[in-house]
Amino acid sequence: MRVVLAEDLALLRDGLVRVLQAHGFTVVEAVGDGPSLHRALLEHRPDVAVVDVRLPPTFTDEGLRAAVEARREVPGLPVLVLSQYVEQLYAKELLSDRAGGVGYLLKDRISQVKEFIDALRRVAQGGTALDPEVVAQLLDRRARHDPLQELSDREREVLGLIAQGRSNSAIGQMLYITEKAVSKHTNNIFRKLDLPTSAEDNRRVLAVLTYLET
Amino acid sequence: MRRTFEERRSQAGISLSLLVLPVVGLLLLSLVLVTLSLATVWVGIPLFLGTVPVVRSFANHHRRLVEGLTDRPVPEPYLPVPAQASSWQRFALVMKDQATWRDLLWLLVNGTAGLLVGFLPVVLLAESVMVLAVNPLVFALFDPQGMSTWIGWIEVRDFDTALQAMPLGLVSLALFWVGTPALLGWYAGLARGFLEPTPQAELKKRVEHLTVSRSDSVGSAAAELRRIERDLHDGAQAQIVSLGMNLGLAQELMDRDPRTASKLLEEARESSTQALAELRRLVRGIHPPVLADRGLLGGLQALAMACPIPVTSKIEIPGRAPDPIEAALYFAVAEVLTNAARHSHARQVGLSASHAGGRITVEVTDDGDGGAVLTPEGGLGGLGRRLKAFDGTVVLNSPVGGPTRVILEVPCELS
Repeated sequence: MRVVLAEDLALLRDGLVRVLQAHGFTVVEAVGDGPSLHRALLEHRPDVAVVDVRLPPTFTDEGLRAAVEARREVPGLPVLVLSQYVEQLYAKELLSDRAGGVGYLLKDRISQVKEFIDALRRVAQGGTALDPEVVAQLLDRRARHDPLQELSDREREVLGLIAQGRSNSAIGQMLYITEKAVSKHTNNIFRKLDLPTSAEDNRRVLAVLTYLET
Repeated sequence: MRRTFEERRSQAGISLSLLVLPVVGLLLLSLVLVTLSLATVWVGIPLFLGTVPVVRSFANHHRRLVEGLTDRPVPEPYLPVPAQASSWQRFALVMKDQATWRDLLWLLVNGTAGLLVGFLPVVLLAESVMVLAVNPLVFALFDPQGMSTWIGWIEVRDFDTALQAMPLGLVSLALFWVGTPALLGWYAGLARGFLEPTPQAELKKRVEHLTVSRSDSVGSAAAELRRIERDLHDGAQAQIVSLGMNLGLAQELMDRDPRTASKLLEEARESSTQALAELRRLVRGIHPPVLADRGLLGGLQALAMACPIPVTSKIEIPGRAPDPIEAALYFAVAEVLTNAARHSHARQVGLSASHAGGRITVEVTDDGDGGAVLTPEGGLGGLGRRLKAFDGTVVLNSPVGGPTRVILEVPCELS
């Protein structure tokens, strides 16, 4: 799989290149700032991009902006955004084009290499991978009055795992229930959130977005 | 027309009050002078201190009057007197305060010029009423014999002469109509000169305020640095030390006991995750990354999203405020939202922020129980002090039973 990598700190960039190459990815270009990221994304159209939020020249959310911008031109271009901290606001902005193929993870997750690579593959296939910390922040808001209010505790838990990008069988294993029970829960979630019938993957993205937007 | 009429009516009222107040002022002045002369034999000091609040509230009444006449605020010029000061200290402070003497001088000026200002409009108005209404009516209805009054050069002794005198009444009414605002305007200007703080007094007040707020901010910055040092020492630093130890041990055991070594490596990885989480928490407390990225606009949006209670927000800040102000406002709003979520039982929170007239105003309302109070040691009180360093203010309005409204204001320009 072809990857474009954006990370300004050489130490982390080299580490990431090593991790990616060790798992069979080809890093077609590794860049260190926002404008060259934007150019590289449009030029290479990679299978997936790994992007640090904070990049030169502004050292603010340059990476995120470049990724959102590139996805506007190449809809659904898979992007995994890495950051030292996570913000629900940014997760929402990344997902709001509803095209899927979005990951948003804390940088520490790279140390669990296998999970990180799994997440990267899920994103490349158009799925989502939200950091458990974003999901935890969302679960904190259970007091709110919104469509999510109608979900049972179990359904909420399942939605949290969908947001992290887990498949039904993975969710089943984590919650010690059968895959069939999981798909019953997911169907209930889609129905309660009033999501239109469409491809299963897309509905999962929409469910997560509803989660973020309320 | 109707408005001018209302205006003249209130001006006539003010003039009428100025027939009385200057005289009261003169009496006050003589009272103060008597107590001052007694101060040489000590008894005068408490007596004098007793008159001070009376004179000041008398002067303050006139300050409000002048404000009403000129639509410009007249701030109080007095230097603060500490509540726990002894009578002797209070006496010394009051005597040293220029405003005390300017008040007394003003009592004298008001006793003469003020009286005139009260007198003229009232006499003119009374004269016109007399000539235009009372005289003609009295002569028409009762035709009293042998009664006569002089209006200017005309002797009014029957209905005909009363009618002849009416143009004079019109003249005096016109004089009242035109002259009163001018006269009151002149009076307001004169009084402002005495009642307003002198530039010197204003500077002095400002310096005092700055001294207090500077020592507050220096103190809170030092406390903040100590807290960060402690957090780093007990948190991330300790975790990295343990990480290093685990790595060292793992290296030793690599050949002899690979299984234990791998367990140690797993622990080391976990410590690194924990250390990072700890650092993240710390950084959020110093300067939240979203604030650095997006400014107050993004920072407040992020706070609204993270609040456990639904927040309806309307944030209109077209630009960036200076970093320290953004941070102070961000943390203040975070504190207010946390309070609302924890204590108020609110079901809905409103958050609005705007920039107008050279200041940022942030308003947080909730439909909760109310009854919140600002205490100096409470979280909100501390944030009030932090905002004060930027000349900002916190206003809390929280009647028991709700709703609660917190308004934060800081003067600043956007870039």
